[in-house]
Amino acid sequence: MTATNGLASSIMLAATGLVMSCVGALAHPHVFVEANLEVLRNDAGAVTELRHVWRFDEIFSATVLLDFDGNADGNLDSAELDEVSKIVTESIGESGFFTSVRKDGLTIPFIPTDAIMVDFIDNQAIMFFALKFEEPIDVLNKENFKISVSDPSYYVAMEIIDETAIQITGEGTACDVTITRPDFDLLLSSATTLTEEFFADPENADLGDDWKTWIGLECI
Amino acid sequence: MHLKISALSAACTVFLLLIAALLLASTDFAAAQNSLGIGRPEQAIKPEGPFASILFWIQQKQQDFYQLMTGELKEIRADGKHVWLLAGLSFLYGIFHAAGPGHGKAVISSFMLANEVAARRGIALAFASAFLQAISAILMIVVLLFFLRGLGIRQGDVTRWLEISSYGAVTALGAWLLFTKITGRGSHCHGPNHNHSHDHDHGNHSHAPDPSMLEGELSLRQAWGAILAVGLRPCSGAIIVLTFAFLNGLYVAGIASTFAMAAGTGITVATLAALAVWSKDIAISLGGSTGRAENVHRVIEIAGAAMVFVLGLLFLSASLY
Repeated sequence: MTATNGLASSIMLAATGLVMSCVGALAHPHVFVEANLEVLRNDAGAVTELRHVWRFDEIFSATVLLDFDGNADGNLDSAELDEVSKIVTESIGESGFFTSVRKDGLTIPFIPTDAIMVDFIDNQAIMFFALKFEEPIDVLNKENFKISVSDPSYYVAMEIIDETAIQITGEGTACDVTITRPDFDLLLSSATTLTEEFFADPENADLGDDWKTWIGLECI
Repeated sequence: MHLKISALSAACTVFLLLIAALLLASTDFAAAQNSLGIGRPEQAIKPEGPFASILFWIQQKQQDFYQLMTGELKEIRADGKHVWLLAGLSFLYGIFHAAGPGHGKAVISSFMLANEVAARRGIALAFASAFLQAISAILMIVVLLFFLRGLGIRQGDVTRWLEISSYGAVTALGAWLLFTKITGRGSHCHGPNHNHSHDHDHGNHSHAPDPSMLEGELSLRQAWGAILAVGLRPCSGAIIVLTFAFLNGLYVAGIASTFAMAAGTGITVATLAALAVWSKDIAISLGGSTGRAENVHRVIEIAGAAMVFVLGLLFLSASLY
């Protein structure tokens, strides 16, 4: 009896402790970005390029400044900005440039950019870069074309404030932009049903499409 | 009886190691680098599993208070007023922040299981380690800003070194605790709640000439070890806030916010530490007769020590990965 009691209580205690340490893996994002997106279309109205402009929050930008301000003049000059560019191009590149493009449920590949450009204006880090598609994407009458701008690791919270953050430029007829945000209540109620196999699938390895904000494009 | 205890502790240790391995395999612990390559090595994790809703709620609260806190900081930069409001928000952020990331609560709670210390002392331990984390963050930013600026040393790197040292220290502390618990040194503290008699069989293990005094010193040293091991790793929210505050010359606001955050963190960790002591006492009283209670007690202490060790290893390997 002693053995069972002792073992049971220590297992109980161990479980409590481990649950607490599991919680330890959880963090909220500390970096907030106001994301703007330009969708460029060619003469035929097909999408050829995505142009990102990301404005980082001032609090995190202070960390960028402290880390890269080599001459300690309180600003980042072009050499210092190049240094930032080199690091973020590599890291963000490893995270798929925080960009996912889907058409009819399929992932559309894009050509990685050589360099994410960085600027530091009004105490805020700004990053901008373009991603070109290998083939122009026909979006006419396609209701299933959508783009997500998000960090799969959720270290950076990419925020698309509203439809005005999306610009459609180039030729072609008008497009409707819709922003679909995740329904967290629904996702959480089904969170327990997500199995190991689900996350083992590389398509689902990151946040999962349902957890992202999607920019839908409907062009006539 | 001694044999039974050893078998039990072996079983517990194996169980803990199994869970640790599982955890390590299934959880995306903070990887060595983040998705930007700038800032602390940290990833946020999508809430999953049976606790998903609670985790998500905590995460949302953290983020809300973080946004309010940093928003207030920006206002202070503009008008220099309401530092007390910043301190209040930082305090609330600290409470929720400790409920989320951080190794402090897990290590301190396990330490409380391993050592027979009063809840009061656990609370002191929790606050001491939280304040040391605050001091560690302040020192780190002061050194980076005033002494090492322009040398190309990045905040993320320094955080990582301190983190690795902290986790290494936790692992060492765990090993030390395990050693003293298994060899029986320090396993018989005579607290006011434990007036057990000594006429039962002790097996091979013998008492030192003046055990209570020796043990008292030993556990005090181990308590300091726990404070230092946990406190080495700077408070993560504080680093970002301090960087912004100090770069903008808001020294008082930055320091006030950091210590308020530490007070909040201390409250959460202290609550968990007290809970650990409380559940340990219950487990012991459920043990029944003095002899059995003694066994349960010993097993829990060894399990607690093993947990400190395993947690240290877990965090260490995650940060080195």
